[in-house]
Amino acid sequence: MARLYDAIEPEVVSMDMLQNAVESLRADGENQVVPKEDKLDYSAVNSLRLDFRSILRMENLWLFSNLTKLQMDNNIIERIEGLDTLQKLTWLDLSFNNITNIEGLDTLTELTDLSLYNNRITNLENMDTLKKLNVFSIGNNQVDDENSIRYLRRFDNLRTVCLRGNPFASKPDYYTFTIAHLPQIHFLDYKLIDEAPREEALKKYEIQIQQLITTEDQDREKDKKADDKKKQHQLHKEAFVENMDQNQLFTAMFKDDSEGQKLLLVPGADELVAQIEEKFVAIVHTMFEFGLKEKETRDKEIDDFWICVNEAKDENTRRAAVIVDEFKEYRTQLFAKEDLEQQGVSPGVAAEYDDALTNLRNKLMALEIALVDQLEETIQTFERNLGEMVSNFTESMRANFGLLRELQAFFNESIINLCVAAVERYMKNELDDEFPDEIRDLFADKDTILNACQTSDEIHRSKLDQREDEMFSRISNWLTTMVDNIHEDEEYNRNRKRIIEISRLIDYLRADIEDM
Amino acid sequence: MNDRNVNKTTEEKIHSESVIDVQQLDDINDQTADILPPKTIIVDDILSISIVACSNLEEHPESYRLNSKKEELILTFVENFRRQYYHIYRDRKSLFLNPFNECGIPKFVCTTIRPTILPYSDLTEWNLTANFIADHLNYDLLDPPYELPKTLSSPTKILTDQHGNCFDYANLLCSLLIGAGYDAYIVSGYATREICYMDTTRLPNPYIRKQQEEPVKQLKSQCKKYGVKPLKTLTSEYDAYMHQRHLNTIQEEKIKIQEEENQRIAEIERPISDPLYGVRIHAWILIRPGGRHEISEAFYIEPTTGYRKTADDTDYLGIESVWNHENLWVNMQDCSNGCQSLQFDLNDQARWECMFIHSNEKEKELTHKRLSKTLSNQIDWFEKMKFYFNNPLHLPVSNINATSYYKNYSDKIKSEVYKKYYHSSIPDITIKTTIHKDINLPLSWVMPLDITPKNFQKRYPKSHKIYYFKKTCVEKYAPYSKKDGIVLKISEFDDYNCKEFIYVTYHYEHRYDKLEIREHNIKMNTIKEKYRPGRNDHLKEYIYDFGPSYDRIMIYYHKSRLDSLSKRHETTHELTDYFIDHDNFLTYRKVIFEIQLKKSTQRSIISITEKFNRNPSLNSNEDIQELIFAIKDNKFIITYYRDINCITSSIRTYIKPSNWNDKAFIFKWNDNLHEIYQANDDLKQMSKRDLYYEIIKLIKEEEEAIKRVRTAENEIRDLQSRRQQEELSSDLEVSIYDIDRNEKSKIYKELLQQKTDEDKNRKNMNELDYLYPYIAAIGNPECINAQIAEQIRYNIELDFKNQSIYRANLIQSCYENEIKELLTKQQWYQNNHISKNDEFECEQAKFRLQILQDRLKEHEEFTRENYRQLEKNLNEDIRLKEPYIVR
Repeated sequence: MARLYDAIEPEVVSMDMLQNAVESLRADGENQVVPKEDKLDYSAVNSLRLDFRSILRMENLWLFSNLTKLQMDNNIIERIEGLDTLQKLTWLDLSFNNITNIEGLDTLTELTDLSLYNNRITNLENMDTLKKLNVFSIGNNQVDDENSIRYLRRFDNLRTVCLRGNPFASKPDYYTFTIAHLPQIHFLDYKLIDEAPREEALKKYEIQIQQLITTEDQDREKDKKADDKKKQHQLHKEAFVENMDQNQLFTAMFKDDSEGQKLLLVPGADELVAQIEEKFVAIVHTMFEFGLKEKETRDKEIDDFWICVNEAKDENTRRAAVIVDEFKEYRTQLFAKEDLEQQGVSPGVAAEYDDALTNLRNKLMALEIALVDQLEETIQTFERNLGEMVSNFTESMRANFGLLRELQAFFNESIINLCVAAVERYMKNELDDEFPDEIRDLFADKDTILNACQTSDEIHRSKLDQREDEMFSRISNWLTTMVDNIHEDEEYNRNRKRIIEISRLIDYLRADIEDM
Repeated sequence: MNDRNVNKTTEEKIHSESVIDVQQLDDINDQTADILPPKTIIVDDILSISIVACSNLEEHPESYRLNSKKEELILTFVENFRRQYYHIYRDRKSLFLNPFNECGIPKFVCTTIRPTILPYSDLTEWNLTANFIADHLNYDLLDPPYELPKTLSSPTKILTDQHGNCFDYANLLCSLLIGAGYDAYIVSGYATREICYMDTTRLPNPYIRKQQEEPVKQLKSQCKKYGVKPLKTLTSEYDAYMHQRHLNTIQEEKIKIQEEENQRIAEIERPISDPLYGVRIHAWILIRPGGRHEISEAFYIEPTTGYRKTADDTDYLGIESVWNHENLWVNMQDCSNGCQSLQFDLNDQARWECMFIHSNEKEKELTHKRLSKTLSNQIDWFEKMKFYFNNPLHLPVSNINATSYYKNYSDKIKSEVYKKYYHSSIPDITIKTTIHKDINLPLSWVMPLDITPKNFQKRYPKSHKIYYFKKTCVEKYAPYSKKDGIVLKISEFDDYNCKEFIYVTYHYEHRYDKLEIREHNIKMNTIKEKYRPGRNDHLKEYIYDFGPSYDRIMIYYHKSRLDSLSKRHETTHELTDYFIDHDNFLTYRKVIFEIQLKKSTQRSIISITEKFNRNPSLNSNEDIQELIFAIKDNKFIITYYRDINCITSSIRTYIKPSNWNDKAFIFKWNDNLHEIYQANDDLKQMSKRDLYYEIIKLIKEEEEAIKRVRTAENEIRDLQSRRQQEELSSDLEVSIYDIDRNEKSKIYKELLQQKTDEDKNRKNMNELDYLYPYIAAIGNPECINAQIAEQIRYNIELDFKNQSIYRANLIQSCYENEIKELLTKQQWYQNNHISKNDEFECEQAKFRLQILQDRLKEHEEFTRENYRQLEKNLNEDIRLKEPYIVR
C-alpha cells in the first residue's frame, strides 16, 4: 500500500538526488579504476532509479533526453507529469504511488513497459499514442468498469496485462470477459492463457465482440478517410491551390456578404447565380488543375537538382577520400622503414613527411574549391529556372483571376439590372406578394439598392484580391526560403564543415611527427 | 604413371596395326606402297574384322537361318534391281543391298532395321541415343577400307557383342531412332580417313574447362540537367595521344605474332594427304525433318562418335544410297563436290532412284502405316512405363526420369496415341488386299532388341572406354565400376603425342565423401576439389598445393554453416576467413602469424583484423568498419565507416596497458590509453566510464578472437586428416532406391515378404470361432448336452441382440442431441439476428443429421443380415447337434 501522505516529509527532485542516483548505477569498486567525470552528462544516462525516496512531484527530469528506463516506484507521486521530453523512454515504473489519473504520457511513443501497480486509478484513458505498449500492469487499483477493458483493445502489441486487485477483477466473469475482449494478450495476471478457455470465452461473448469489431472498423474507416482528406488538403496547399477544387471560393464570396445574399432574392437572380457559378467554378477548376500540374513540374525540377548536386558531392567526396587513403598508405610505408621505438623519426623523413602533408592539404583544398565553384554555378541555374517557373505560375494565375473579376463585374451589372427592374416594378406595385418582407425596404428606392449592390460587389472583389495576394505571397515566400536554405546549407555550412575536417585531419597527421 | 603406361601400350598397338595395314595394302595395289598409315592414335579396341564364320547356327532363331518366301521374293526383286542398275550405270560402284547376315544368309538391308523403342528416357532423344551407341560399342574398321563389307550382322548380335563396323553402328542407331519417332535413314557413302578411322585426335576437346567470365560493368545513365561541370584536367593531350599510339603498335604486333602462331598450329594440325581419299567407304545416319516436330532441317549423325554433322559437312565425300526400314533410294546427284549441294527430297525421282515405286495412294497408306507402327511402339513403351510407374521398385535407377516423363505425358499422349492407333489399324487391312499389285516389304527378320538395365548402366564395353581428342585423352567409366567412384577422367596434354600432362580432371560419382570433381593442375602442382552439398563440414571446394610454403583455399556452403563461413584462405603466415550474411555483419577476419623458424604447434599471432559490413541501423560514425587487434603492439585500432559527407573516417585507438594480464594489477583508466581522430562532430562523445568498459570489452573480444583462430587452425588440421582417411576408404554410396545394389534394402524386403507370408498363413489357420467364449465360460468341457447347447445358443443370440440394440441406441441418442443443439442454436441466432453464420452452421448440422440417419439405416440392415447369418451358422454348427462333442 502507498504510504500515508502526512507521515512523511515529501522530498524534492534535486541536483544532488539525481547525481546520487546516476552514480549509484556504477558497479562496485568502479570508482577506484575510473576517475569521476567533472560534470554530470544528462544525455548520456540511459536508466535512472528514483525509488523509495518520498518524491511528491515528478520534476527536473527534462534534461535526461536519452533516458530509456525510469523507475520511480514507492514514492508519493500524485500526478504523472514532466515526462514530455523523455521521448526515448521504453520502460516506466510508477508503481506504489498515489496516482489517480492516467495522463501526461502522450509523447512517450516508444514505451513498451508501463507499470502503474498499486495506485488509485479508476479509469484507463489518455494512452492512445502508446502504440508499442507490450506489458501493462494496472493491478491493485480502482478499475471497475468494462469500458476500461475494452479500451485496451487498441494496443495491438500488448501481450501481458495485470489487472489483479481491482474491483473489476473480483467479479465472477472477470476472467472470461477479459480474455474474450483482449485476444492479443498472451498473459493475464502473469499467467499464460490456454487455448481452450479462450475459445470458450470467445464463444460466450461472440455477439458483443462482433458488434465491437464492426464499430471499431467503422471508426477506423472514418479515421482513414479523414486522414486521406488531410493529406489531400496538404498536397493542395503545397500547390497553393487549396480549397479551389470545388466551389469553395464562390461560396466564400457570398458568405460574409449579408447585403448580397438579400439581393439574390430578386426575381431572376437564382438563374443568374447558377449561370455565373458554373462559369466561375469552371475557371477555378482550370486554375486548380494548372496549380497541381505546376507543382509536379516544380517537384521534378527540385528532384533533378538534388540528384545532380548529391552526385557531384559524392563524387568529390570520393575523390578526396581516395587521396586521403593513398596518403595513409604512403604514411605507413614511410614509417615502416623507421625504427620508431628506438630512435624516433629521422629528420630527413620528417621533412619529407611534412612536405607530403602540405601537398595533401593543397590537394584537398583545391578539390573543395572546385566543388564550391561547381555548386555555386548549379545553384544559380536552379534558382533562375525555379524563379521562371514561379513567375510563369503567377502570371497564369493572375490572368485567371482577371477572368474571375470580369465575371464578377458581369454578375454585378446583371444583378443591378435585375434590381433596378425590380425596383421599378415595386414602384408600380407590380411585385408579387411573395416578395420577402425583410428585403422590401431595400427596394424602397433606387439609391439604396445601388448602394447595396456596390457594397456586395466590393466584398466580392476584396475576397478575390485576398485569395490572389495570399497565393502569390505564399509562393514567393516558399521560393525565397528554399533558395536561402540551399545557399545556407549547401554553400556555406557544407564548405565550413569540410574545411574544418581538412584542417583537423592535417593536425592529426602532423601530430605523428611532432610527438616524436 | 599409370597413364603413361597406357599411352605406351596404345602406341605399340598402333604400330603393330600400321604394319598390318601396309601389308594388306601392298597385296592389293602396288601403287599404294608409298602410302603410310595416318600418324594418328586409334582407339586400341579397333580390330580388323574377320569374315563371319558362324559356328553354332542352331542357337539363332529361325528367321536368322532361313529366308521366308516373301523375303526370297524381295531378294529376287532386289537382284533384278541390281542387275538393271549395273546395266544402266556401268561406271558406278556396286550398291550395298543384300549382304549376308551372321548366319551366312543374304538379307535385304531394309529388313535388317528393326525399329525399337527401349524403356530408357535417355534413348528417346537423338543426341543421347547417338552418344549411347557410340559409348556402348567398340569400333571395327572396314577391311579393306574401300570395299563394302560382305556381311551385315543383326542389331541383336551387335548389342550382345558390343562391337561392329560403321554399318553395324548405323544399323543399330537407325533402329532406335526410327523407334523414337525420327525420320532416320542409313547412308552408305564415302568419308574422309579421319571419319572412317574414328580419329578424333584433331577435334578440340569437348570437355573444355570453363573460363571465368568477368562481369561487364554497367554504366549508369543519369539526368544531366543540373550536372556540374567536370573538373579541369591538367594533362597534355599530346602526351596521351602519343601514349595511345605506342599502345596501338604494341597491340598490333601482338596480334601479328598471334596470327603467325595460329598459322603454325594449323600447319601442324592439318592431316597428311590420303591416297585413298574419296574411296573410303563409310555408313552414317541421315535425319530428315518430318518425324518429330523439333527437327526442322536435315542433318547427319556420325554413329561412331555420336556427333551431329550438318548436311554439307566436308568430312562426308559422297553418298551412294540411303535406306530405312521401308525403302531404299539410290543417289543420282553429282557428288564430285562432296555432299555440299545434295537435296534430300527423296520423292524427287530425278535425284533419287527408289527401289520400290509406290503410287501416291500407296505412299499415303504407307506413311499411315509407318505412323501406326511408331504409334504401336509408343504404346508398347507406354505399357512398359506404366508397369514401372505402378511398380517403381522394378525400375532401373537410370530410368527414374522416364517414369516422370510418363507421368507427365501419359494422359495427354496416351489417349491420342491410342486413338490414332486404333484408327489407323483399319487401313492396314486394305494394304494387305492390295499387296499383289505393289511389292510390300516383309517384317524385319531381326528379333526384338533389348538392353538390360544392368547393361544400360554399364554403358561402355567392359565398363570403360577411352577417347582421344586434340591434346586430350578422355577416359569414361560406368558408375560403380571403379572402387573410387571415378566416372570420367580428362587428361589434357601440352603436345600432340599426349606425353606432357598439363591438366587432369577427374569426375566422381556416388562417393561417401561427396567428392565430385578433382582438378589436378600438373604444371602448377595444385589440386582443386569440388564437393556436393551434404558433408558434415559443408566443404564446397578445396584448393591446395604441395610444398613447404603452402597455400590452401577452402570454400564452404556458407548457408548451411552456423558461422556463415564462406571461404578460408591459409598460407604459412596468414589465415583469412571470409563470411557471408554473418549475424554480426562480420565479413572478413585476417590473422597474421609470426614467421617462425622452428616448427611448433601454435604459431604466435601478430595481429587480427576484422572487417564488418555496414549495419544500416547505426550511424555511419558509430558503425565499425574495421577492428584491428594489434596483439603484438598491445593496441586496438577501430576504424569507423566514413560518413557520406566526409572525406575521412574516424579512428579510435585504445592502448592496452602492458601488464593487463597480471591478475594482481588493478586496471585503472587514464586518458593516455585512448586516442581519437574525429572526422566530424557527430561522433558520440563517450564518458570515461564508457571508454573503460569499452576497453575491457575489447580485451575480452580479443581473447574470443584468438580462440576462434585456434579453432579454425584445428579445423584445417582436422580437414586434412579427414580427407586422407576418406581417400583411403573407398566405399561408394548406394541410393536407397537402387534395389540392385542396396543390400540392406534387399534384406529388408525379403524380411517383409516373409512376414506378410506368415501373416497370411496365420490368418488362414484360425477362423473366427464365436462359440469359443461361451464354451470357455462353462469350463471347456469335452461334450455338452442338449440343454446346455440350447442355453449357449440362446446366450449367443441374446448377446448379439443386445449389442445391436446398444449400438442403435447410441446412434439414436447422438441424433437426438444433434437436433436439440440445432434447435437451440437456431433460436439463439433468431433472437440475435445474425444470419451469416447461421446458414453455414445449419448446413453443417443438417449434414451431420443426414449421416447419422444413414448410419442408423445401414446398421439396421446389417443387423438383420448378420442375424440371419448367425442363425444359419448356429444351425449348421455340428457342435450344437446330436453328439454335442465340443472338442
